[in-house]
Amino acid sequence: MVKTADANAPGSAVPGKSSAQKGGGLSDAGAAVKKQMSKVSGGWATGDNELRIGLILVGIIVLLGIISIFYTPFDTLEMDTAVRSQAPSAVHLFGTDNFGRDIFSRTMVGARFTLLVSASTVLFATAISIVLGLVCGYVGGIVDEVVMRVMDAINSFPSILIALVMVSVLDYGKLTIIPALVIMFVPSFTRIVRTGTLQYRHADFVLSNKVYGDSDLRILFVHILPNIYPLLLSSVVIGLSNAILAESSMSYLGLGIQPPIPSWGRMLKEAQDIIFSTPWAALAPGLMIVVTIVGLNCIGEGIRKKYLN
Amino acid sequence: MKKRLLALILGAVMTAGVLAGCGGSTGGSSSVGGNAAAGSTAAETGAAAATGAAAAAGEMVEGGDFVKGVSTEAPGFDPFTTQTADARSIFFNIYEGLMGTETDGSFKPMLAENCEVSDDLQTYTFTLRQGVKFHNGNEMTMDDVLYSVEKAIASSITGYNEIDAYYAGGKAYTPVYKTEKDEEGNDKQVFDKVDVADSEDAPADDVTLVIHLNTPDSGFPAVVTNPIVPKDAEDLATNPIGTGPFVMSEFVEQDYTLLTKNEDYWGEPAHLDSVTLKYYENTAELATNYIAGAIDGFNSNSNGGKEIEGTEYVENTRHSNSVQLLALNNDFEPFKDVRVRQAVAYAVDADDIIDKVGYGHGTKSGTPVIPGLEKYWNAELADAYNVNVDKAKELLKEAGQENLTFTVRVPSNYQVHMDTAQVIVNQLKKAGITMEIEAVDWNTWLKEVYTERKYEATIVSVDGNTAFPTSFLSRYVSDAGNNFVNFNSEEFDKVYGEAILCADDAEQVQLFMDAQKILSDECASVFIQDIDSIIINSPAFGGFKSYPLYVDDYSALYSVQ
Amino acid sequence: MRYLMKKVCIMLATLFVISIVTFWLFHIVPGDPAAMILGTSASQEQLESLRRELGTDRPLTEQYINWISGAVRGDLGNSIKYKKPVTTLLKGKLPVTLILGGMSLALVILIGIPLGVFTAGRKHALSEQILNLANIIGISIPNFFLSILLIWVFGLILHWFTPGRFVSLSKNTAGFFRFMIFPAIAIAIPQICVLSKYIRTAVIQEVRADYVRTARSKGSTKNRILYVHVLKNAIVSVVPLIGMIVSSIFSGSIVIEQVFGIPGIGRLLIASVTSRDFPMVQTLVMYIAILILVVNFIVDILIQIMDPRIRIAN
Repeated sequence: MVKTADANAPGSAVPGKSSAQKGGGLSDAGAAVKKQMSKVSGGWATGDNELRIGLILVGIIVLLGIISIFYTPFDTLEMDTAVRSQAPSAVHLFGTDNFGRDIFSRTMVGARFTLLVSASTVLFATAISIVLGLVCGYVGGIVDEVVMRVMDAINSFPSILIALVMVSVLDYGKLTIIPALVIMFVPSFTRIVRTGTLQYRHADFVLSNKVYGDSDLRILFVHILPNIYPLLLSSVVIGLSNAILAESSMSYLGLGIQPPIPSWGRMLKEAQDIIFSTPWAALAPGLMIVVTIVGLNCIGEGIRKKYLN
Repeated sequence: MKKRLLALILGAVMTAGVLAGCGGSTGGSSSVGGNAAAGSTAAETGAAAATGAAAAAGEMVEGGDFVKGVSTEAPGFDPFTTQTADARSIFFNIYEGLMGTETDGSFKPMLAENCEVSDDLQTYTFTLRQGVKFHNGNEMTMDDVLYSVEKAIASSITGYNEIDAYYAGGKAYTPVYKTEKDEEGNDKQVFDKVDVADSEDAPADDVTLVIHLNTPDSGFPAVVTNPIVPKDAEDLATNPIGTGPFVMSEFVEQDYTLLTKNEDYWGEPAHLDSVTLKYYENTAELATNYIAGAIDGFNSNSNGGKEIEGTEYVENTRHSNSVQLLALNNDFEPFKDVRVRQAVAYAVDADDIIDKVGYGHGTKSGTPVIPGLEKYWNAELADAYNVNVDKAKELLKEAGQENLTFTVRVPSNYQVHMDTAQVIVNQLKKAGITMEIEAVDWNTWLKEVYTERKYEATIVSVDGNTAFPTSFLSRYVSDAGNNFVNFNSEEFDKVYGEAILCADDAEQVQLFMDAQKILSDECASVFIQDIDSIIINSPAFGGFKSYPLYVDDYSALYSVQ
Repeated sequence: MRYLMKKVCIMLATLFVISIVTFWLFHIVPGDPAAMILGTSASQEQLESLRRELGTDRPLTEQYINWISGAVRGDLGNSIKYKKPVTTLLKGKLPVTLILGGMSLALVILIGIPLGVFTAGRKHALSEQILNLANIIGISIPNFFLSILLIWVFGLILHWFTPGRFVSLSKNTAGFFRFMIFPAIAIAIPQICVLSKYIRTAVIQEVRADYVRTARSKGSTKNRILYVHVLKNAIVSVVPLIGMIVSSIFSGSIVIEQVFGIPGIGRLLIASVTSRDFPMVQTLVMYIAILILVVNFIVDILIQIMDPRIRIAN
């Protein structure tokens, strides 16, 4: 998606660029404006600061996940009632759970699977939605009507029913969770892309590019998509956080990774039962989720400011 | 016919070999069936341990409303179809049978004023109590009792199939069964109707009911604890009418059930004006709601009062009267070899499970019979498979299964079983066995694991539907319809068959012990423990009564000032 | 008018297809309502007779035809679990969920839009940075985590309400709203963040549009520009979002109802799926489908009316 950004960047070779601003005026702030802004508030306006913070936060999480493949401070499965429900300390950074397992080690291992599931879910869902949404918005007519009504239908089914169906169709398994979540995520993403496409397909800059003989495909992906990006971005980031949590509610139905191997969502859910006696058991995974999402959000904001404005 | 007062037999319940047990689920144990009472001693189960800051120590006052937080609602109030443990807990306060259960597991006359039994244990005579009113204001008559008996037979309530004929008001009533083909083409007996004929043997008055059984059964009083309902009752499922100390006056789906005091109760009326059972889908919120004062009591997980530290509460502990087992599907290829099953049993450490999952709240069982059924429980077996990793490895080697791997399908709504599974994974790993957990939802479990037996291993708590050992052991007979572990042993079938037909008490006890020994030797499954239930109540209420049953007796509760 | 008729026909056809798919999905999912009622001590005979009584022994096709033919006549059948007409159950639960949803939506719109405009107007000021951060956290924080936090702070520490003590609207109106405001806030917060963010983006983009420059050069004051011209256009571009927010509010309320112990549609839905209560699930899915279809339909129409860029197309 970053690649498509250059189409709107200042100095783009696309003729009729200037008319883009007249046409409803999204994007393309122009280099001059940008420069002026950076004077006002340093890195915030250019998105550099956001990008930096975001990369650091997400980097830490990813690093923890990678390190956990080779090393964790404690065994994540071994239970020891002698140290059950201990508050955070120098030995156990995030404390221990009701089985005496080290929560820090478990959040490290949890990062791996949680990130894998949520990232691939959102990736697949976004890819499918972009294609569907662009086609629906651009082509319209019967194709649009059929696809959108199917999306409405999927939205109507309770997620627990979809999950139960996926389990019986695809069988139990760690990765069955991904198609199940993708199905649940596609409708809302598609709707965003479609609406965006509808708004821009008759915009002046699109029309003029058409006149200059650009193919439909080029118009869709090079001219329209970058304009939808800011809108889509927020949803993608929210989607990631939803995916992390949805994974936990699905694992109860035999989808996703199964205990005793940890995932953030399930750690959070299981901690609800012991929220007063062992509050850190809920806080640790909750914090990790928030940090990850904040990080991704910052990256998204940064990219938008830096490359798309 | 020389008769004795049944009450006397019942006083000596444990020796009479009656009984009943059955348990139910609390917090996490997943037993859902059963309809009679049970046999653990009061000393064991009735102990109310006062913890927290206060025990109930004020003056008892009449009136008041008790709000109990619960996590499952009754699927209807018809006692002839609804058999879940949570439903029966509510029914205990609304409905009553000819006989009732005492806190020590014995039986007392309820709607029958007294009950006499013949020497051959085949004929029971009940005298109806007079002046008992149903919640709809009508007086209970023999017609209502006859209707309820027939309804119980027609609904296949356990034990009622033993009834040969019953006599009342100068008439003889005979259940008639017809033969039907089941799905596999085998003959089976289905209740058809009740034939009524004039009879000289029948008592002429309208307060005496004589029931004749086709087999001697000292446990029959447990059977007739089943409710008596009015003959013109329509739609008990939504509008229950009984004779109990509480009237179900309001039920709002997913919200609450309101029980109000029965002012016309024939016995000692309830102290409280009303009891509200408030439903929460999310059990994690029970502790929060208790602290906030929205509820006056709830059934806690094994963690007990630790979650509500800092508030005042009274903690009561009792057996759940069900046995938690790691069920091994005996038809799963590796488990066809008894040595592999034994290896798993040697690798599982029940004490460790009780410590880690239950914070010490549980009793090792070693057999499917609940430890509370002391007379029949083969206590030696609890230690038959004390953890022995070397032995487990040796057995696996002999069987050529050194790299044994299997999947355990666990009903995910029971956190206690999910927790147990995680502990067992670690235990088995030490013996080189890999167990993978697969969570399934309860309804899928009932269908695929329990009914269709599509599983390798599972963890669940199983109770009996009466407290006689047959209800715990019958499912291990090779061709039993509910033999979900697919256990197959001619020897067990033979010993068990002899046991149920045995007329001599001591001999029968020995045969049941032997049958359990076979299950243990053959390692039908790994029988882990009877999990404790922990009940938390506010100190503003007193009078908690513990039964060897999964019930809450609200009539005994009172407010304290 | 013809366009409207066409849309309505398509909606009805979609509903019909959804009902068939639900029925088919139910066929795939393993489970048995009779087993749920009887539990693990059930004998085969008891199971069979209960299935007969419940009508679940008949072929699913027959069950579906019974349901749909009844539904057309306004009779949605009886819930298997509660043995009551589905319509009665809906009547009891629907108002609770709709009020909860309505309160959340009101909060989202009343707070989200001004917040978005406010932050857009103070670009790069410190207040904007703080709000931006709060926004990001608001979006990131898991729904039920937020609920627990609200219960803890307002229920257990400040005692502004009693967690777990839901009272029905008819019994205690003031108590009902006092309780419901907290779950409504829990549902609304993430949506407020989303909406204000979109509004902010849209406003900033509009500000750069030519007509604003024109207006400004003509001497309109800053605030007047912001609130009159810009806002109108900005709102147009977030209308499609309302459809999504409504469905997010609904799915959010399923979780929130469980955490706060509110007896609404969400909990009824979960209970019906887990007990395989076919008529109940079928009806609830249809209800959600109608909600989503109608909201999206209205949004589509609104976009047509409000946004000339799209109107040209038709």
